[in-house]
Amino acid sequence: MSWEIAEKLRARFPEVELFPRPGEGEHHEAPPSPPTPPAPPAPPAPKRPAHEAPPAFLTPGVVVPRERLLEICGVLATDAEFGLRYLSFVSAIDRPEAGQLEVLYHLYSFETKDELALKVRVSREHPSVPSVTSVWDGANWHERETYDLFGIVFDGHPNLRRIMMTDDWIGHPLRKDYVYQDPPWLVEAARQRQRDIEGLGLGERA
Amino acid sequence: MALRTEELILNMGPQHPSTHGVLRLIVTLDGENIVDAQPDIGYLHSSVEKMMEARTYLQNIALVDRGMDYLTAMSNEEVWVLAVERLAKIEVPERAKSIRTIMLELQRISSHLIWWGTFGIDLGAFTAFLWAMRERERIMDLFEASTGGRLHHVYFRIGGVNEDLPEGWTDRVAEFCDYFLARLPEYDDLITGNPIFQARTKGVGVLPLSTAIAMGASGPVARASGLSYDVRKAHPYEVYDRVSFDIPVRTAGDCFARYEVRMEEMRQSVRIIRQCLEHLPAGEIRSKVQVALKVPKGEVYARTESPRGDLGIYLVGDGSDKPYRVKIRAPAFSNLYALTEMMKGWKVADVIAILGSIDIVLSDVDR
Amino acid sequence: MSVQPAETDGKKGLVEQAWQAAVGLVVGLKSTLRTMFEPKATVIYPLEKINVSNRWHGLLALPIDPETDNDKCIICFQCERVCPDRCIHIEATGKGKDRVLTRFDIEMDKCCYCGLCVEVCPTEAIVFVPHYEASTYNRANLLYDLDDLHRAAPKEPIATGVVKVRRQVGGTR
Ligand code: SF4
Ligand code: SF4
Repeated sequence: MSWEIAEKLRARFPEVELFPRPGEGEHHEAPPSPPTPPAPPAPPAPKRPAHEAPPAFLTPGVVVPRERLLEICGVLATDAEFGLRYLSFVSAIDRPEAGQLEVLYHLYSFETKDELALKVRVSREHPSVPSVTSVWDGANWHERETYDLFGIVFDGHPNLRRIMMTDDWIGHPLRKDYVYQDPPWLVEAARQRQRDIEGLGLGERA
Repeated sequence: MALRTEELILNMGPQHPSTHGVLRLIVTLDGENIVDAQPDIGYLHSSVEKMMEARTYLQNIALVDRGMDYLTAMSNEEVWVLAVERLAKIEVPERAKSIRTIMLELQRISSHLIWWGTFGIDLGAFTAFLWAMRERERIMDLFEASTGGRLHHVYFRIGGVNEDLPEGWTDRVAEFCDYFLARLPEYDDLITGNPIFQARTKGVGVLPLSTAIAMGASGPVARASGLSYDVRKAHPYEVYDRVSFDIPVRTAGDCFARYEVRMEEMRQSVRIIRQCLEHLPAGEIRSKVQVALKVPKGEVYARTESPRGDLGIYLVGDGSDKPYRVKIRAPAFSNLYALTEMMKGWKVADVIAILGSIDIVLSDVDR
Repeated sequence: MSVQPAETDGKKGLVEQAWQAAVGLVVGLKSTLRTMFEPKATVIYPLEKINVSNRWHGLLALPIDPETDNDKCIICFQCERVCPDRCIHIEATGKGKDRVLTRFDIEMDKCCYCGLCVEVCPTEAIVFVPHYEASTYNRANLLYDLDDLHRAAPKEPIATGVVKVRRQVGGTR
């Protein structure tokens, strides 16, 4: 849980950008609350600032430019200074208001127990990042899943196919603007249920 | 002499009794030998992560129960409430922490029992399944008495647990611990020491340590390959930093090593439960949290050790009462990926043994 | 092709292997035999039933309060709001004290038995009852309206232990 590793990475690659650190003020607010009833002070406070306060990143992380991703990942995984040999997952966060998708990697080191979240910002229209399967083999399925659910193309991936949805699925479900439509048989099943309920003399229900 | 041979592609599943759910394995065979085994998943995909974005933090407890790994509902609840509590900076009373730990370990035993039983069936020992179910039934009864649910409990709450333990429950748990420990040697008699079982598992499906790490395996699968890593020790949550227990590690990396690790884990779970029962503090079980909890903006990754491995949730809060994005890091997903490596070069009869030994639950893989 | 297993076993004589298998079988059978004389772990389900715990998440009900001869619901819509599956539907008419429920439907086929509605109800009007045999041939039968919810309330205290019951034809609903 230490931010040292993120800072070490910035010292090596000045172009990476650290996640905003948890603000000092916020950090000191939490511990004193338990003795007094914890909830009452909370409700009025977050009402306003919840949307305005800077986001708190509790997991150390960096934003990496897309061009340097492979190089930085190679260093992180193999260099003894970092030793982040384990890739927990690859995923993404959709930020439609910024027109961006954030590809998210979570790395872990068994030796130092350090963790590091890695983000790459790509555009929503033509999102693509280099695949890290050459660095961590385990990224294979995770990247397929991210491709499936977000539509991010991983260049150089050995087998970039849909993994969760069927191959002929249209759209990428985890994007914020994805609209799901019930298939016809499901609509019909719902109608049938409605008819059954009416048949019981319960009137227009549910 | 020059017999013309061809590779045969064999489809196992999605409806196959020993695939533990709806998993399709596309196995490429050269005679009896497996050249390649590619799992085809997604049959149970329910897009839990998307559904969670439309529900409040409290309602999501009910969803993670069944949307993720349905055999370890408590572990799912745990990782979810842990992530929310960290982001919203909510304190959990000591008693609730101990209760949670007891529940999690009971859940671990019950999940491992299911695995033990089905692994037995996979290898042709039906008695194992009946015995495992008998013991598991007792755990289910314990869960039922305290939470009201047998599989889906909705027991953990953000900032504590729902209800205090019913009267006499701790005695029943202690009784179960004694009973269960007395049963384990019988299990060894029946399965572990059985030469047929050993012949089918020892040396089969070896996963070397470096491959295990590179492929993202975790939990008992990685520990059987020699990775001495357990989230409960490395990043303790609840009261795991105050109880003493060992992490069983084997270096063989074969099916038998994975079997041994899980059997030993059950013993360690009993040890943890006993310590928790001994030091069960009195007091509050739940700190006050509103129903429509608003979680501040921010991001956090919470990780726990579920019976299948490193279960994590990356939670993105946006200041409203619903999560902005939830990423579930499912252990079985990565473990199943490592299967492709374990299978290569073995006989077709070993498919079931290897698959059974990694203990996957398809709703955890597909989410 | 990578290395194949069981080469070490091949060195042992066939006799030795067979002997080992026989020993393993006997040890296993001994355990099985012991279990045979233990008390039965199962019940003959439809004839015998195990009582469920009193926290059991069974069917939902709005029990009638004998004092007022009505349910305790104060029509606060909390349960409707908290339900993750949105399967509670409440409508009411009237103002203040005269407010009465005109509709209280629970779609039990959508309910996930999470118990959040029971938890938030300020008057304990909505409760779980220890019924678990709710299967029907038609999903429409699982729409419980106010009458059903009143009726599903337990009229008698829950017995303990295993009870023998006669096979019921038709079930409870
Ligand atoms: S138990 Fe849960 S799902 Fe069922 S009606 Fe109550 S809140 Fe809704
Ligand atoms: S929460 Fe209770 S009192 Fe309020 S509407 Fe529901 S049943 Fe009635």
